[in-house]
Amino acid sequence: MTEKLLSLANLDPWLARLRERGSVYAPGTDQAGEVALREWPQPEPLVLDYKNFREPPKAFFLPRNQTLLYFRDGKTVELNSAVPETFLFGIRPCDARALALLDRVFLDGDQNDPYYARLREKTTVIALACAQAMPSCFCASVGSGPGDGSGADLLAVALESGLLFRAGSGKGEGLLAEAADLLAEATPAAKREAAERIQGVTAQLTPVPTADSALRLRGSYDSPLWGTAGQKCLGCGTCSFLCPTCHCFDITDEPDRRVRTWDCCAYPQFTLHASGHNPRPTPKERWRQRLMHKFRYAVENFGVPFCAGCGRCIRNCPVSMDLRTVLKELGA
Amino acid sequence: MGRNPYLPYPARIAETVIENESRDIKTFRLAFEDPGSAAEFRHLPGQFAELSLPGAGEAPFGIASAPTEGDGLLFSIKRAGVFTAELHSLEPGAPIGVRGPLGRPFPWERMPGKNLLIVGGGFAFTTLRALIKQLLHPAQRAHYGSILVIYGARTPGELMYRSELAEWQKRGDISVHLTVDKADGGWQQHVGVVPAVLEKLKPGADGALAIVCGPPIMLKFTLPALASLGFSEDAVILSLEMRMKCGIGKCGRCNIGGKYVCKDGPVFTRRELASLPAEY
Repeated sequence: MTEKLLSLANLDPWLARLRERGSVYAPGTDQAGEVALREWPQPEPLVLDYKNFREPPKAFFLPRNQTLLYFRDGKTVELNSAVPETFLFGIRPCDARALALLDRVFLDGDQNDPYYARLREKTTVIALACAQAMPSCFCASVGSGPGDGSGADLLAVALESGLLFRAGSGKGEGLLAEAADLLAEATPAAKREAAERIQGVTAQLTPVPTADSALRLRGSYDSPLWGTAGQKCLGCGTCSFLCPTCHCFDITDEPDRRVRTWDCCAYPQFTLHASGHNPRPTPKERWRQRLMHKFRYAVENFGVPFCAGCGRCIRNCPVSMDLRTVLKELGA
Repeated sequence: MGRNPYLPYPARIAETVIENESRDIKTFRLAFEDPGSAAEFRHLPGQFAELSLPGAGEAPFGIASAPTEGDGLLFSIKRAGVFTAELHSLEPGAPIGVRGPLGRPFPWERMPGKNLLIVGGGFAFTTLRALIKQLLHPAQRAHYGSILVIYGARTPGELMYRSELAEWQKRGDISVHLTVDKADGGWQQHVGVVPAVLEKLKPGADGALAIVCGPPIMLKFTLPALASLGFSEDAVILSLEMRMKCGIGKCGRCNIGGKYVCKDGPVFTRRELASLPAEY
């Protein structure tokens, strides 16, 4: 694993070099004054000390609306336009980890999803270790952390004087090799500073008991707590749409094309049969499904929870539902 | 990268047959447009496919024909929603897409040497027809013990595949018991629900497998009846239906616990289902 240093002065020249190869997205302030992943360059400067974006970057890999097939002259055909090379600089480690989790579903080797595969292949992910945690963050409780490089091609850690890069894939190693003239060797002091910064953010996190969730949830399928949670849930789907690992989708037809769109297990139509039968008829079953999927079924299938601990579902729920509370109560 | 799993094979509706008196179940015989597709599409009874009508969408249906019946596929489909209404309006010659075969078939490898009890109710009988056709194929039949079929519908006119059922009833190598909830004038066979017929016939469980497809209410009473006849949870094989979209374990719609009905099923043993939440 190669580690290199990039001085802050060399950051823009490096991004400019990436820009010659494709689109570059980097953290900047949008019209609403929020830090978001924006096409670079922008008149406003880059922001490196933001907490996290409101939206995860999953739409780069699973667009909200994506044409799968076209209907032309009575035939159903693929019309794949070339996928442009894209560089995402500065997504947080939780969101990069979420991509490693999505890979388990869409690149499972059994039946790969060609649309996801193309976008994933053409997109280089450069994660940026967190500078500070939010009260809703719990990445360290789901096997991730503020310095987790899984899912990223490169992990960057912002230091006082520059960025420490750590390659996480062959693609990342290649980026460092190409930029050799802009990079310096990572000194022991820089590595120490990076480790201390990550430890400092980790110390700000409040632990949530998730490690044995699969076991606890197995015994709590009939718990009355699901009913309580389901009564509060509006079924709005905000948690799913802002979740970096939620990936359920619908496929519907327009007159000239077949389209994949984001869908959500909180909606009653999600599982409704044509006969009228619904295996998950009320918010209780649907809320249970969402939590069980993430913390029990995914653990059974993949050995890891399908949650990156980003906390977006907690920050954005209109009725202040908090899955950490439910997990704690179920464990009690 | 292999074939795009979302891209249907082009086919045409070769023939349609109305199966029941209510005229809401039709059997569609589909023929692939090119021989290459037919060669690639290799299914086994119990599997399903997504049928595609451009502009109307896709929906999953069990394959009602056996591979031993040659190229082309049969689907028996009840008119229930928007997609199936569109499908029922089509005439022979109309183009249609087929995506599959999908899912896990009936456990073929467990059947040789076994007595087979096949229990079906309503229009869920489709994949059981595929199974029976495969079992009765001259090159296959000798591999299995006795075959006992119990098939029920609301009325005699709602039984599907009536001429085939009559042919099977004339054969000596399969025993077919038909039952209806409500008889009409000419009906000479069983009257009563499927589990009642099962309890009356009392098929032995030793060296036997039970393959069961039917509506939830039939399963609710048939499964305990099988258990009291001595069928173990491993010896009872079921096929489930769920709302589906992708059919390949990605879209997250048809899961029951950690299993996806589309790729881990639709065929499960009762033991496998017992370890899953009852969300089906």
